[in-house]
Amino acid sequence: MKMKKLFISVAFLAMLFPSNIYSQDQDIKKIKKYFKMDLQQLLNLVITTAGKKKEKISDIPASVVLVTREEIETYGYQTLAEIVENIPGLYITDDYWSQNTGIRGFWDYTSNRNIIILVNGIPLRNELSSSYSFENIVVPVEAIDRIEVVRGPMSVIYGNGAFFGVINIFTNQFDEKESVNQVSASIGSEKTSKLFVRTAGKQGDFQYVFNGSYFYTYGLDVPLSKMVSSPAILPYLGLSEDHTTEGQLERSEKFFNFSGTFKAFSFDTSYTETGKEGSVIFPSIADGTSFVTKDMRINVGYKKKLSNTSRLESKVCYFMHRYSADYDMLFEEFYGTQEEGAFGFRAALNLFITPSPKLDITMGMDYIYVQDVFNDVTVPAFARNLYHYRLADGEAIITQSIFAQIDYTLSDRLKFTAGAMLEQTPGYTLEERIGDFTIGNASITQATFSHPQVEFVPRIALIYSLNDRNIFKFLYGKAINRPSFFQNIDLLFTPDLPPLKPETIHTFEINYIAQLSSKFTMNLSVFRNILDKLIYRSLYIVDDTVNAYHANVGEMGTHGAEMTVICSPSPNLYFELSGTYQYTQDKRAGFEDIEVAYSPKFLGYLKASYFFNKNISLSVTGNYVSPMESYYDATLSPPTRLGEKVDGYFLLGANLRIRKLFGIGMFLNLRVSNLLDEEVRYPATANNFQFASKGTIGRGRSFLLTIGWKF
Amino acid sequence: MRKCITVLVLLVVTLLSALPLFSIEDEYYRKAALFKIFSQYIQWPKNSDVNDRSKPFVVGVIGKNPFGSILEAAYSQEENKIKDKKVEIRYISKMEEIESCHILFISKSIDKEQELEEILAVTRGKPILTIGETKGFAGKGVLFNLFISRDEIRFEINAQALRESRLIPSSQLLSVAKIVGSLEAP
Repeated sequence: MKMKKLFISVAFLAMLFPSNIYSQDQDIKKIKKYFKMDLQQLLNLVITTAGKKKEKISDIPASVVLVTREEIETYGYQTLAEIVENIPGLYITDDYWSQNTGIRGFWDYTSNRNIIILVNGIPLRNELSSSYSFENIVVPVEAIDRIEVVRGPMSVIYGNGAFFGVINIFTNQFDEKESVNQVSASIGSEKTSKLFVRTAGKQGDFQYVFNGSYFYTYGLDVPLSKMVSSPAILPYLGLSEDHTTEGQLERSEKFFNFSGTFKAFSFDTSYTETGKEGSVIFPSIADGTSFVTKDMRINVGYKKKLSNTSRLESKVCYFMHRYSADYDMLFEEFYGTQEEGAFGFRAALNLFITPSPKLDITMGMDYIYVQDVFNDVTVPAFARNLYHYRLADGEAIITQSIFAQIDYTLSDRLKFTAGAMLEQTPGYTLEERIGDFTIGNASITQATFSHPQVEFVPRIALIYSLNDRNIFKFLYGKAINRPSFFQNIDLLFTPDLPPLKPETIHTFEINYIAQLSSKFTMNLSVFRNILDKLIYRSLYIVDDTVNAYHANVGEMGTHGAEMTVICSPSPNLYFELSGTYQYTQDKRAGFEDIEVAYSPKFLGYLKASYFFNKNISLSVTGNYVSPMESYYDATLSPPTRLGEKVDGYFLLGANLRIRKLFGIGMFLNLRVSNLLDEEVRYPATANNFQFASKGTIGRGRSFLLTIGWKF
Repeated sequence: MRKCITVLVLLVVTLLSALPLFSIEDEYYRKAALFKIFSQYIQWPKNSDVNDRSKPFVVGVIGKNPFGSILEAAYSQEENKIKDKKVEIRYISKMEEIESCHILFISKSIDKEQELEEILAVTRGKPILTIGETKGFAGKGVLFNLFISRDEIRFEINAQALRESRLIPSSQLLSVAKIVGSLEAP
């Protein structure tokens, strides 16, 4: 009887606590929280790059830009580089060897060495140059579901190299409610053509996305006389004065990517192959110096929910990279080849713990193992016959790191983030082999790079919500960039050189987001970057001989401000206007008054779109880059600029997109880039000053017409 | 011992019954806020009383109320107006009350086809934004149907019913929705 009473009492208690119980106070807080969100936030559109976990943009302790598939389609960008140069704070250069990204007033002569680029969370790093070259990252725009750009040092989460941030490109977002298959074909200026196919599906617990594309362009046809200071020099380089780049800048790209999930497992495989022509050091004579890259990544991931408050994610990725060059310069019979490559794997383990609703803890460890790194050069005309630079037998480049970050909600208005990473690359032995082992005339020289020091990289951030519509982010972060295999090759020539240390950056930033109304948003960032131990080629005296080697001699400071205003006066009309002011100063003694190369002071961006109806949109993009100086070579005597300062330029693009043609999923897209046919010049680099001291010329007006079908 | 086990079991039952069963965090707070956002992206016909400032904007809920007191708490706040009008929440018990609504939320408890048909018979062709949360409702004539996909709230739009209602959605709204049928008039 007593038991029965007890049962009834407890059951009654259960009824008193129904499932939707909440205190009035919590109720109001939640209402305030959700009623200040916009449509995308309410639909829970979140980004994962900033903290390797899903977070809402306003809650992220970093300055973030999100580019969605809808945006890419509306603005009709032709290439990934075109998307990147329309992201506030970023700009692109092209020296006819490689495209490179400048960011926040800083540009490195090694292509994309200061920002990490990932595809589906996998870093696409070239392990020889520690760079993220666009030649390897040829993701077709049609495959991109979303790009998350986190600006600012992100080394705590992503390790060395995330100097100025992270660009994470997603091509594997499966949504069964959307069209899952797509085919499209494009033609455009410079004999450009592109084919793209995408298919996605779901069978029980297995779902997959496949993207494949082929791209070809004949490239620019530009007279060298417009780029070189004195055309009279061209005959000395084996060319006539009216020589052009016709047929010497061809490019082809193949991209395949297959991703999927099965229960707690995920996989992602990608293969890219590019053939590119260009010119390096000297202008091409015949068909152009050809560069071929092959890159393969295979990634397997596993997620496990450990409890209601913790989960584990792990990844193992195998990668292989090959690059070959066949040089064309100076005279018809010129012979020169280069082969390089590396393979390895990286493993990552991340643990996410939420011990209380106010506290998130993220911990992780990464292990990167790179071996078979080689760079074989044969250029007899430059006294380089069968030179092989490689890791010594049995050696590997190992980078190991651990990190932890906490996100703590101090109050409704205040959120605090602190994190730190410890990372080490102990060292490795390189060797130089000269000659041909098969005929027994080879010699071997070895040198060891050693830097056992564990690097400590901190990060701290405070997010303060003044009220529902005004959010301030106070950010500090450090990042490091380790010397690359190529930079350490100098040790083979002079083993006594001090080992290169990681480059460092400290960034202080205040980010203000104001949602002034449902139609008007403003984002303002003020930042200060302090860069130290930058690796430059510098003069060194060894045994009374003056030589140029890489050394940690660079020191720079940048301050700047970025402002973006977004306005949507009517549901069909959208404007976005951004401006960046940045001033970078070379802090080295004696260099304070030397204008920093490739560092424009002003950048401007414009986006506007109008939807005539759901299916037809017209949009324009614009980006302005102010004048830039060329490379300043401090190793010359006297130190000299390698080229002329180039004028600023404004690129206006327009795009017309018609969706659901004939009432089905067919679409038509016409993108015109550089509509005003403005002359674009990129300043001379150490790679091209012999033939482009006035700057290489960028694309003029060009178009790309795409027709496709989503089904 | 048996007593202890029984008490323990009952306590577990009690606690379990108090746990929220939401499949997405704060689902109904989000849905309540979506009413306001949807309204910002939709134009009602010029002759609709939405444009009459003297009348409130009416949000109706038909079927078992899943919001608890969220709707009243949210829309009683001065800043949470819709179309710059005060919002009145009505729980519909009679079919004739439906016509006064500008938004009508059809809760999960309306799961019989006949019940739904009775509701749609009243709303069809009228500028009433019907919002469902039951699989297949968009296909049956509900204008907007909310569903959960991969931890996100998504929604589908019945294009034909929307056209007949004379409500005009913005392209931004359509760009994030799944469209059932064609938006173009036949």
